[in-house]
Amino acid sequence: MSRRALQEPTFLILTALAAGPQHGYGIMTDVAHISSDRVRLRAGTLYAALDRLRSDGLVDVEREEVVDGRLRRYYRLTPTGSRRLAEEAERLRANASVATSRLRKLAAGLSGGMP
Amino acid sequence: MTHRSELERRYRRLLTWYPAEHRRANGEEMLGVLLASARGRQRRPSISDALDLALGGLRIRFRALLAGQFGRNFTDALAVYSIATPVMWTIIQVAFTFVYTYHLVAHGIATSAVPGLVAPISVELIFLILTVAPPVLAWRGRRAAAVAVALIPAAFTTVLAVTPTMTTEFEAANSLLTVLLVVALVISPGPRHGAKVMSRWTWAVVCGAGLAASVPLYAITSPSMLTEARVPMFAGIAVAAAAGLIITLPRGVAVRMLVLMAAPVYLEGLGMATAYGSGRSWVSISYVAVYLPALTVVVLTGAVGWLGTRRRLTPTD
Repeated sequence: MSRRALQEPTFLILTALAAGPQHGYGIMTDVAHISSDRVRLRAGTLYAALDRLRSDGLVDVEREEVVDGRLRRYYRLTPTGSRRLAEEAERLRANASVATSRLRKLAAGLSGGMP
Repeated sequence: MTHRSELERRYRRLLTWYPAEHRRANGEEMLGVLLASARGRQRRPSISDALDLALGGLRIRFRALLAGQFGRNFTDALAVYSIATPVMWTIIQVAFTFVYTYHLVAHGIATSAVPGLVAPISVELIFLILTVAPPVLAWRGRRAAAVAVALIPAAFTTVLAVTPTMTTEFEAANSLLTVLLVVALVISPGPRHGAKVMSRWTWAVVCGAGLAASVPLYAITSPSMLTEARVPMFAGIAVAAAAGLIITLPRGVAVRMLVLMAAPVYLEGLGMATAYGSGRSWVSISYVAVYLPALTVVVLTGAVGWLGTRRRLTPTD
């Protein structure tokens, strides 16, 4: 059975964590960096996503520390999360590959058909 | 107040969109992220941040609802309902029958009238058995049989309630109560668990409310008592029972228990208020228009609760 595609923010959060454990603010800045500032997560979206990813077993808490009197959690990718991200990356790569190949053919056809 | 502390206070207020459990676990961490993302002299959250937090909170509440986390209080309330309501009904039935019989004997009853009382008393007796049997069966681990038995009065009262010529506020309320019992038996951990949630004071509230409610019911049949008296009497009993449940049950359970019972109480209250205000008889108005939306809400709530909890349903323990 085919799985539902990951939403882009989810994909980017998992990609951010693929580099290593990060805290919430670190994930937000990394996602902005990965997407060239196209996707800017807000706290509500981030924590709703982390809550879902944790309950799905894709992400877990690596460690907790207190900074300036406030709790800071570091999240990490679980093995299931790594597999899911790899599957999604492969799916996107396959789609991109088909799209690229067809665009090449289209471009070749257009240029060949030109008088 | 500094910019920072004012901003923090406003963010804290926005975090109340999230369930208390989520706030306890993640509130400080989220606050840290929100403050770290804020501009230097920002005093109040941006509209997009406020919307994002509200939507995030609703998303988590909805997910918790589907996952049955909310869940815990709600299913506990249904479990309490599955035992408390039949016990209350039984007390009302028994007390009412006792008081009514005493009234008939005290005022003298013609021998010729006795056979005419057999049929209605038999019906009451059958309903009493159908009331007692479901929680007893569920208590003994026979949930399917309990639901099957509970469906009989639920179907019967629902047919009465949606039949315009038969409908009274009593039928409509009874139907909701019996349908709710079926829902409670299907999706809650069952009456045995409900009994564990209830304290002995909750039992006192349930039994006391049952006994008290039989008095205004007697008033309906007795011309010697002012029928108008039943409205404040029922209202007083309902308020006292609600206060008792809030005090004696864990807060989340109590609130949900009251929500569950609100629709039938509302219907009954509406009926009594209408009859009281207009002087009309009880069998006077079709409540179908009010009843069906309420029933739909109850059934949908039950369906959502069932979808959310079926994965973690345990045998009636």
